[in-house]
Amino acid sequence: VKGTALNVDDVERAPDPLWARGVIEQNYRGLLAYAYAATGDEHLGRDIVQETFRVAYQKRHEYDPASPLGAWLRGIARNLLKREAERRPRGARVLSLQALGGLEGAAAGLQSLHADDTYEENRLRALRDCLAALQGKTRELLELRYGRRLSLKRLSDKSGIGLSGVGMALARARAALSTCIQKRMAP
Amino acid sequence: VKSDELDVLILRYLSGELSPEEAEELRGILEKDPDAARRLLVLADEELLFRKGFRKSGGSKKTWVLRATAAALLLALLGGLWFFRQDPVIARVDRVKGGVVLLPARSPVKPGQDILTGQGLETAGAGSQVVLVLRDRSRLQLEADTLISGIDPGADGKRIRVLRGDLVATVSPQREGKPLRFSTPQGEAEVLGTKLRLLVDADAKQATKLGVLEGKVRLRNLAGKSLVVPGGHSAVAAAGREIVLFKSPSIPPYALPEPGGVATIGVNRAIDVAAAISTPPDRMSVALFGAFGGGTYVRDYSSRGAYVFTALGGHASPTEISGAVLFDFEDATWKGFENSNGIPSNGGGWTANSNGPPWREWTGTEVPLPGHPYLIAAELPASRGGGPKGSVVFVSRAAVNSDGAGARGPHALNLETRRWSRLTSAEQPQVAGIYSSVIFDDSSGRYYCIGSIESRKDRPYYDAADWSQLHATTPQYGWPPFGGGSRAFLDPVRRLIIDFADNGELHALPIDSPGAGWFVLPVSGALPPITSPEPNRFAFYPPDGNFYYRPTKNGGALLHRLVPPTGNALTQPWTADTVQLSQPMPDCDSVRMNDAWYSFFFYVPSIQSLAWIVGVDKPVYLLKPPSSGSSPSAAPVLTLQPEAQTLPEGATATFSVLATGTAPLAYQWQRNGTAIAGATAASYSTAALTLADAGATYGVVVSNAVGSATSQPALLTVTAASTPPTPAPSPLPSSDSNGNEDSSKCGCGTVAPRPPGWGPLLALAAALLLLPRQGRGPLNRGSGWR
Repeated sequence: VKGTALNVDDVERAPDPLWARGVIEQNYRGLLAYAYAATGDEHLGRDIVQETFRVAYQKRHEYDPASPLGAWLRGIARNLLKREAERRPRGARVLSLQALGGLEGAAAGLQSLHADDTYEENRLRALRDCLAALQGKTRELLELRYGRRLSLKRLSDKSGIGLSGVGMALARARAALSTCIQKRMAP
Repeated sequence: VKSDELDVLILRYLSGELSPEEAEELRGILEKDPDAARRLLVLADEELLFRKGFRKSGGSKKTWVLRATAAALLLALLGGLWFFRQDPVIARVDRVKGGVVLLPARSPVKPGQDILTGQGLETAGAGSQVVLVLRDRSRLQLEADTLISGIDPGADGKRIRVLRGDLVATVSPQREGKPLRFSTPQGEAEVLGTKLRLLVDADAKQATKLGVLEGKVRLRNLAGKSLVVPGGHSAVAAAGREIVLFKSPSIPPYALPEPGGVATIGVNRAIDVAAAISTPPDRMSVALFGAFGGGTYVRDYSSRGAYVFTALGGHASPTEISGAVLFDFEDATWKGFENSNGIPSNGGGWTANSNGPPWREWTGTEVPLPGHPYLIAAELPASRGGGPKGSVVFVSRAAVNSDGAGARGPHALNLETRRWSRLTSAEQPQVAGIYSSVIFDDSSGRYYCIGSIESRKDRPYYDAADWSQLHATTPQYGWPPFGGGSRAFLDPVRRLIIDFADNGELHALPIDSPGAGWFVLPVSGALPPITSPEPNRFAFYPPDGNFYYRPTKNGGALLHRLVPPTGNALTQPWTADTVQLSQPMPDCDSVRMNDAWYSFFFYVPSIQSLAWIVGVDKPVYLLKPPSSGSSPSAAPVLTLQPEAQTLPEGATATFSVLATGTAPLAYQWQRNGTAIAGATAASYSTAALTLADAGATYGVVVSNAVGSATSQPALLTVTAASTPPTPAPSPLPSSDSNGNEDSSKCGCGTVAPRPPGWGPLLALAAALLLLPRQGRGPLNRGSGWR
């Protein structure tokens, strides 16, 4: 499905492919950010999202159109996260329900942003423009981090800077990039 | 925690780099600080964006190496896919029955065999069949004598070229803009839905008949005009004619026999029927077969008609049931009902409470039950004045002579009201002798009374339009002994009354020119025995135009056949021979009354099968004679009848009919039984309706060189314009003035837009080669969507 990692044929084999496609395309990215934040693991987050849509599809007739679809989907995702947390040993990377509650308010806004299918494309375009304008160590740091997928520990070892210092540098580089993106996307 | 420190903590959390202690610390922060939670979400969203953005742009050497590798692998994959694309296998044979050959080699086809692009298939004669599964999982079932010259994977969708025959297709959803098409000599069917049946005449001047079982199909004729045919409807495309749309006849809830085969339906459970007609079960053989009322097929009783046994009063009648027992082909059940004249059944018995001597004289306006019932009943269809469910006419021998005179002429049992009525109060002359039959000629509305004992050879008949007179054809005296009237039948194709004479001859009277008198028909081959103890029952079988005889005893799987000549039926020899059915059918001597006459053999047009009814507590046997190839002289058979319509004044009514038979077929529409000038097509549209049109009936006579068939009348109801009837939801898709479907309103069964054909495969390859680990989590063990 456009913008997602879900298999097109799988969706179209669903008896109601138009429903599946529409709901997924509008809510996938926002829900993924929510699940990723809740787990700290992108892959686990994607699994949670896929399972969320599968459950939602099965229960689509229970959905009340008068209520926000995103909240309904996050409710399903929250139940799956809770179940996942129960299956994991203490200390594993899933937030508590209380912490998840803190995500809710921001998640609704984020999901509405991603409901616009041009939002992600515009962000990516802005990101590429901003990256092209970046030079020096900031660009190199981001490249190592996101291009080569090095962990902060590896970056620290590679640069000889302490973990905290690398983390701070990365945080600042990201903040700069984020500001640039926001400026480029501003009307 | 400072914001910078929180960001670092979150970034490490999002990378899975936190120690358990640090994770616990972060959870504690998030639980207490909603702003921290919001920050987490923002950073998680950005993290996803950056990961994706860097995957799509930039790139280290390693990334480029990976990309180059991926590109090489993709090229290899594309090469493989190209090879795959060139794979000419387009279908696989799933099942084969009988002789099926692959074209053009004409080699036998086997299950599991691949069918390549451009190859064709041909099924041979009766019983042959092949089922193909296309690569998109569509299924094609080719029935006997079907020829497809090829299946082509065209750029605009698959195209199956059907040159002739009968096929059923269950079509998987096709890509938008690439529908599956069947091209035929007369047009093209474009599948918008899922399940259809196609009947294709080889001759381009004939027709392609389409039945849509589910979904929708667009039928296009050679003139380029098209019509969307919805589920439950049929349509015909023929050269030089508009496409005609019909509501499809419903499928019987029972299996029909194959040609040459036998099927059984509906055991006539005596105890069930007995309760309905107040007759002890042990008298049921009497009620069903011994009432002398005989039986007749009544087309109007239900959508598939019923065979009705009149159980009558009278001195010779065994019971005074006076109602009817019938077998309804709609649902294959037996039904019984008494009359509603207020004359109760006496519960059976040969003599008790009969009208028999001393004869009861009916007086005044009292409607008597028909009396002395030696003349067999015949159908009185709604179009000839019968009830809406049809009526049964009973011309009793009371009209023959003084014996049982109280019955006073012909009666009719209305199967809707269940009431007997006298068709005329006029005193009737004698009509015929006992052991006679009444032969109904649908095309003229005449009821011929054929008998033997009184030897009236002037062939008297009643006209359904005027029962007050008994007409007579030109007298023909001095003829050798005729057969019993119950051994006479009508040949509707050659317009002959045919009588099996006691001397073994076959006699025929051309009913449209009775002045020509009776003829002895020349016969090649041995006629089957006619008289007791092993008489035969006869039936005309319109699908092949032959007559079939069923011996009432020692019949086994034997079926006698009488094949009419293709030339002059009065001078050219008729051919008598036999054919075998796939399994034997019971004899009549198993009937409790042990009388070979109590058996019934007749044609059921609604299911195009012959029926054999014999005995009590037995099933009804359905049979179809073995196929003898194309009939040189197939008379028209109406497969779809015009339907009654209710329309507001000002509207236009269109009636349609579908007929099979040897071409060319001629159509003549009638209004209230009178021919409409210029109405000679398969469908007829009225002028703008007025209230004066209300109650009119429309029918059609379809004829060809060998015969004709008359449709049921369709009633037209016209409502006042100020009070239009509530429109029922139309099963048809909306269309513009050209009949083109409005695709924006059509749930045509096509699927939503899909990426180009390579999309999923390339995405899969890219996912395998370029993307980071996907779907490794514990929830991904299943395939997700099912």
